[in-house]
Amino acid sequence: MQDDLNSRIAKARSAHDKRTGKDQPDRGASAVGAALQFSMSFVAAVGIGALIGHTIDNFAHTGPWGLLIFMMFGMAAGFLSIIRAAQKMSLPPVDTPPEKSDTPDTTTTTDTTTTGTKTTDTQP
Amino acid sequence: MAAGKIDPISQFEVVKVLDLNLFGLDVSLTNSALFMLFAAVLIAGFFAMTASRGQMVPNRLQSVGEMSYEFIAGTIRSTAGEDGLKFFPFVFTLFFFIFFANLIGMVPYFFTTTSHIIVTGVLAIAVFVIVTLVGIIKNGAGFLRLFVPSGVPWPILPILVPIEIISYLARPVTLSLRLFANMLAGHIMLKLLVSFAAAMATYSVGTAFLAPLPFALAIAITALEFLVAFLQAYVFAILTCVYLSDALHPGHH
Repeated sequence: MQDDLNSRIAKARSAHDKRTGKDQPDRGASAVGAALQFSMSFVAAVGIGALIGHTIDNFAHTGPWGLLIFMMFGMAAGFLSIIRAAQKMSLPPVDTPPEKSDTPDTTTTTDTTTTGTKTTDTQP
Repeated sequence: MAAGKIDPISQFEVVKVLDLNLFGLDVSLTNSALFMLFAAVLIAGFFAMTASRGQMVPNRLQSVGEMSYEFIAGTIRSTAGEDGLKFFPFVFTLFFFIFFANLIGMVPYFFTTTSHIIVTGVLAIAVFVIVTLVGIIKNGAGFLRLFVPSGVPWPILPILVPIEIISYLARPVTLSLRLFANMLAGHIMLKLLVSFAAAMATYSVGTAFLAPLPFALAIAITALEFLVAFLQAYVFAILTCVYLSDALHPGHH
């Protein structure tokens, strides 16, 4: 009786975990929401960078240089956050990343070589 | 103009409901604070009701309470791991406060507290401060590994570390802005569509026939807003979990 209950609890828990795990990649379902989020995180990063640069300029009297440099850093941070979010969105459909990531590398290299030879073939 | 000027912004105006003065300090009760209190009372009342009987075989109300517990616990477990469950009360409170505040805002003539950046900003700053403190207490100086991605050659680090710090500081900004913008935009859109339908219906016979169009759209967007009310609370909670996970296990990504 006790074992039965425990196994049932374990089964329910694993099913629940699977469900929540499946729910997670589905977060970026709406493309508009994703676009809004990307643009917002980019603007926020640039804004934070500009704020840091301006504060440094205010304290160190370093002219526009702190603002310029840290706004560049902010833009880089914005791009980084967009790239990370995009990677997170595009990863889930691939079921087994480690196995697949090995084979595409070789195929892409061979692809480029074949296309390279193709173009050299068509040129003469 | 029969319907008068269409004014979608005045619904967000904060007004004093009760004038209070504490030792020269203005602590008047505003409609914003009133509806926050209302949300808190509603949540406390709801969960007190669900937990009042404590039966072995739960009735409907109790199972709703248990489901909400399981839902948040599962969310934390899947994002921050088993040791993230220590922060269950925090995430649970955060989720249900935002969720109830959003839902209360869906009632006509009720005030939406989460459509103010000051409210969402304070929530996001609370998350930011707690996550940073937890990271420093848990890992000490090891928390700084969060800003140094693993497997990066050292010449790039002077560029990459400021970038990582900026993206860390941008977290509360995006966290608060997302919730605030969604609630603000949704309520402005609803108000605009409904007042547009009213203006069309009263302008002339020709436009009155077309008035159901914006009204139907308003109904559809009302349904969407209920989804957004849940989704934004969920996103806020899940991002809090992700940040907590970063603080508990830095250098994992």
